[in-house]
Amino acid sequence: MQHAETTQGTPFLEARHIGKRYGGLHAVRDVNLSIYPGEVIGIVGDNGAGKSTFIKMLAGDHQPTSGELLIEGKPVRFAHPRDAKQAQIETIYQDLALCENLSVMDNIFLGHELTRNPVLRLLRRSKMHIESRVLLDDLGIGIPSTHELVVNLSGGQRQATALARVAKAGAKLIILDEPSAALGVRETRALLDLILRFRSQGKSILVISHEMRDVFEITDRIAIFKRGELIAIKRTKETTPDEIVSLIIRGRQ
Amino acid sequence: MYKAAGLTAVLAVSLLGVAPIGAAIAQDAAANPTLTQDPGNPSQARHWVTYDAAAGAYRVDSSVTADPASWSAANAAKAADRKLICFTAESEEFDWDVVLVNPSMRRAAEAAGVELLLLNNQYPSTTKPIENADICVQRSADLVVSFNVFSEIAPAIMTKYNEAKIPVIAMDVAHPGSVFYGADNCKTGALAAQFALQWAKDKNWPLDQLQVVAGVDPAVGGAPNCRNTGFVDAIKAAVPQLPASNYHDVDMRTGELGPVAGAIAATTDWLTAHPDAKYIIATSINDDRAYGIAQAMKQAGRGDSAVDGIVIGKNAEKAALDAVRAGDTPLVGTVSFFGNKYGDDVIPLALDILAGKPVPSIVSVAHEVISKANIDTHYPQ
Amino acid sequence: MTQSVTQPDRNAGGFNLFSFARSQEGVVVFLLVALMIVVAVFSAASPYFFDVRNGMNIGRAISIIGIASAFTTLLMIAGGLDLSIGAVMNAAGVVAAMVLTQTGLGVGGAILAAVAVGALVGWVNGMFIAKLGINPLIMTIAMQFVVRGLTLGFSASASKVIVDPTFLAIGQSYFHLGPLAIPAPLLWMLLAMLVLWFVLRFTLFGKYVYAVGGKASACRRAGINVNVITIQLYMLSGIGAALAGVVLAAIQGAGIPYGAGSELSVISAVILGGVSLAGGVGLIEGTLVAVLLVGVLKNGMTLMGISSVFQMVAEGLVLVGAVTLDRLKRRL
Repeated sequence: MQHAETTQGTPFLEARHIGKRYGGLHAVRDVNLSIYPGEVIGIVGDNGAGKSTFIKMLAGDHQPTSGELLIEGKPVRFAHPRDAKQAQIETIYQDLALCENLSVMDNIFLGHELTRNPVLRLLRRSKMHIESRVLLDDLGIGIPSTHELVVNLSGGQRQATALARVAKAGAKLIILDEPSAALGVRETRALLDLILRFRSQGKSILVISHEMRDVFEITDRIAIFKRGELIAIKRTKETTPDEIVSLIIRGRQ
Repeated sequence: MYKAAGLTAVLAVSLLGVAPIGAAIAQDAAANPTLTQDPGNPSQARHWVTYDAAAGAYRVDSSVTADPASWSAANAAKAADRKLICFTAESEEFDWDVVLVNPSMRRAAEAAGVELLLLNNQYPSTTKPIENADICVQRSADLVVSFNVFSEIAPAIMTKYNEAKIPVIAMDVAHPGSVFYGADNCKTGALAAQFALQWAKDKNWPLDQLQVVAGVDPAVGGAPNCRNTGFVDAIKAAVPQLPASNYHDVDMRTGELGPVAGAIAATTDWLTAHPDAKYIIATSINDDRAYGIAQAMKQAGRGDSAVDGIVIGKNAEKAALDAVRAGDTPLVGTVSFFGNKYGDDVIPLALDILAGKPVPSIVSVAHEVISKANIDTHYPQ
Repeated sequence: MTQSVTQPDRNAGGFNLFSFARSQEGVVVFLLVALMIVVAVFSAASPYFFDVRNGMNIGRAISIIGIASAFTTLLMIAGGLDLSIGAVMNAAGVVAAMVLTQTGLGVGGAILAAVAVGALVGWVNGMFIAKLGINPLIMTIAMQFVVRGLTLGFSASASKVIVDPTFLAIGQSYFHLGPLAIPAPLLWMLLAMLVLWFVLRFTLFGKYVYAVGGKASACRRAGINVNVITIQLYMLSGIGAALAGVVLAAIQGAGIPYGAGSELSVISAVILGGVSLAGGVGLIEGTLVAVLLVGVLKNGMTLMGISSVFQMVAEGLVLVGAVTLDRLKRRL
């Protein structure tokens, strides 16, 4: 497998002793995790295990109360989601953050529109449509028209649009929160293929998921969270779904 | 009829001479000057005027020597052909218009064989009167009766009619360069004062202890406000010994709940602030406010017209007439100018103008205080 | 389905009647058809209706509502709401009249001062709504009271008569186009709509108007400064109301501090034109046709001698009909 030994060299992102407390409550405690380019890491754990809080710190939505983050070896602080974007980290939450009243193209380019004339800032519509088409085809996304409004798309197509947007923004780390939760079998298949295609482009992927089959199919490593702590990191090909489930439920033996 | 709005006296004066009257030839104008003054003040000199259709303006006709007040609807011209009179009514919402003025106009037009186009100025809209002027012009009305109470937009309205050379009769609020028909606001105040003083004498009230209350609305301009100031001035003249502290202006501008509720609230507050006030003589610009003042006095337990005080309204609207007839509130009188008879004067006046006959520049309505003594004569049940 | 990579694709499904009926363009076409039917009915019913001069009268009558609704259409597409429009209109008219009569700044200064008042009110609205998250309905009603009170206070509740012929020409003059005499206010309305149509359709700002109305949180995630856009839109709405107020003052020949508030006519026209209160959809074209439809209905009924009491009922029913159809078409 070409991605067998990705955990070498400099990680794209490294979390060192990251923690988040709300008053007396430790939502996340002392997490150490490195994510390498071209690596897919699955994050699993029960509800309330700290998965969401953890990724929100990576996305700049929350600020850690302890520990530090490093991007390509340099320490960073994310005061705002904008800062994380600046560092080429893009997060897709379950609501997908799409404007359903706009077209696929509009959503792909949202916040990065191509314009001409610095005063009037006129939209370069046909150029953006062409680029969107090229992007969708490159990613193998089956959306017939970039003119289609997102409101008319299926769940899988919306998910794909959100992913295309993230790819367009030039993300190096893509964080996905339960991406297959609302998808059918075929749509899930297409999503997994898309994630694997991103990996082959050298992007890092963090996926929160409850679906063990999906996790085992696409990830290189699996991080197990319990009560705010990262209790284990397993290489996917060296573990089994049973072991992971057991870790989730019973914790470290 | 004046629910709000108008123009201050200063602004009314500034309107004089601004009236865009059609261009008149110099020597012609010297001999027969066009009517340029604003006849908003009925105490101004009245002239005989005829409409000069070629110039699109009324001209003063000095050849007639009779008193302008001698004009009578009875002698008016008959319509030679079917004329179209455009009547931009104040409203189709308020008692004054719906019950009194508008039906009288319809009735009189039908009787005279005149086609009447009634357009609603939708008081308190300040845009509708202008839109309606456009429609009157487009329909090529032979004459317009403009019941627009906002004197500040009267010049904009008159510009349209003058351009189209359509003669105008302005109802109740003067329009520059038009013939005026309507109430003498100051006179209504004086009549109300006369009535109130008589009442006080009849009840043996100490005249130097009267409390004079005027329900004012600052949004109403100078002309309608004379219904209050005319009242106050007449009392001052008749009872010079009454101290200034016994005169009270109570702000009764129309709130969201309408003029009656606004008047009740304002009066209740005033009564609270003057717990010992007796011998109140109150008036306001219209019956809505007068009715509200009376209601507030009654609700405060100070509504005995024999000792506490009285209210005299204006307009003789239905609610006020009912109260006067019942006699169970301090609202014991209302000054009528017979809105129910407006049409009987205005339509003949219009026919005279259209026939090219001289008419007075100002035609005043009859005024009379309606009380329990004469209500059945003027308003039989 | 394979597509040529270099061709921007057109609507893939071809023309679909249902999806067209559901689209914002469909609303405009529907309103246009309704307008044509109404015009046909009135033309048959009244000999005075189908006439160039009457058309110009309608145009002048709708111009004030038209100018204000064009600007606030943008705000409402972005999910905002401005109920201070009527108060700003009156304030702007009074300010313009006072600047004209009491300073030497001239017509230009008067218009600028009025626009500044509108922009300031809009800025205050926008700051509180965007930065503090105050509900727009409550904030703009509160501003309506504040502005109305200040206007009455500063003007001492008295109208300010305007006699400057240049200023009056803004509202009372005509532009002659061949045999056609177009009232100036109608021209200002069409001009405002043309500019705003261009902004909505072709500029980045226009795109963000729709995007913010679609999902503000998505825009924030995409790095768009939603607060700034929201504040700009409230300012635009205020400026539009101020411009309408200037034209109104010129039509009336006076700045009137206590005129009846027209914000509800403005907002109902925008909604009739296809803008959803939830935001995200709508076109200036829709607002134009809606304003025309209401204007034609009122004028036609007046010419037919139908009491204005029933005209109010008709106006209400048209709005109810429009929003009902809007609900129904989503089930297509």
